[in-house]
Amino acid sequence: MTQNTANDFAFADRIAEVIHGTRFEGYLHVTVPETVKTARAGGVTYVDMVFARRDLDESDHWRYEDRADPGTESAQEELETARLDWYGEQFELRWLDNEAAAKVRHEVFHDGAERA
Amino acid sequence: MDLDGNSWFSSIVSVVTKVAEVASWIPGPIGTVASGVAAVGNAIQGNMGAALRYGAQALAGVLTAGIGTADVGAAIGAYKAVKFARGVSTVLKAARRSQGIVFKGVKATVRQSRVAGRIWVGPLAKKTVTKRGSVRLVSRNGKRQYRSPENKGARGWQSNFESGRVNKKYTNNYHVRH
Repeated sequence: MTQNTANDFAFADRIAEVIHGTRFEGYLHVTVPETVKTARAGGVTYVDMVFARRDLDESDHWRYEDRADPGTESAQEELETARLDWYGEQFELRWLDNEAAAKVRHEVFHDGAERA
Repeated sequence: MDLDGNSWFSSIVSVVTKVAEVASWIPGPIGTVASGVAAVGNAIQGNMGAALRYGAQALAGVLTAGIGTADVGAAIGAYKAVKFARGVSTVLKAARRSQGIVFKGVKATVRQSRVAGRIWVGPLAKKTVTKRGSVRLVSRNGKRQYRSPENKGARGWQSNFESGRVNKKYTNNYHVRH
């Protein structure tokens, strides 16, 4: 039995610019993975986030970091206020419109291949 | 010794290793097998000097008994077990020491990661399976999480060892590479 939870979360599959002060730091891709509910595995909803950060030391100049916490509460609060606490670092988020998000999803997140 | 922060596992390994160390003095096959167990137990605890010593003792026992195909197989098996346990131990120690996000951690096999992951979250962990097939385990008290190996695009195959849950999110995220 498959549980589709992506539709229930307003920020699923959205992409934001990540800003520190006035400096552009990278992009954040939010996804909600589908989970399989079985007798032994519960259907906890996860909010997965991948942060593509500018890093000239990496081969394609992007460093991918991820976060995946069970439950939606912590992510919901941060995404709604557009303030990201990334392992102690504070950032602002600027959500991209559909057209810009599609471009970044393809060019930076490789159509979803960069996952948490 | 608190190898992974889960005292139940550390206690079991410690007791089994100590019993095996004592039994390793018994002449014959029992002592040889016990030496092998002591070698693996010490390897898990990171006592590589003792692991090598008991491993050599186990090998000597095999050689004294006369080399046969089964004996060579047992010796190779013991060597592989020690090597496997050492990898599991390395992952757990590195994950436990990590602070914040470490996106390029130690390398380990997928099997070593899965065993280390089970130890990381302890018994009665809550399990979630994604449609992609990856498994997420949350410890009973919620303070630790393990995410099984998955292809993460440009980063290759990785698994995650997370800890330090504050405000419903993990503050430490250690990535093991495969």
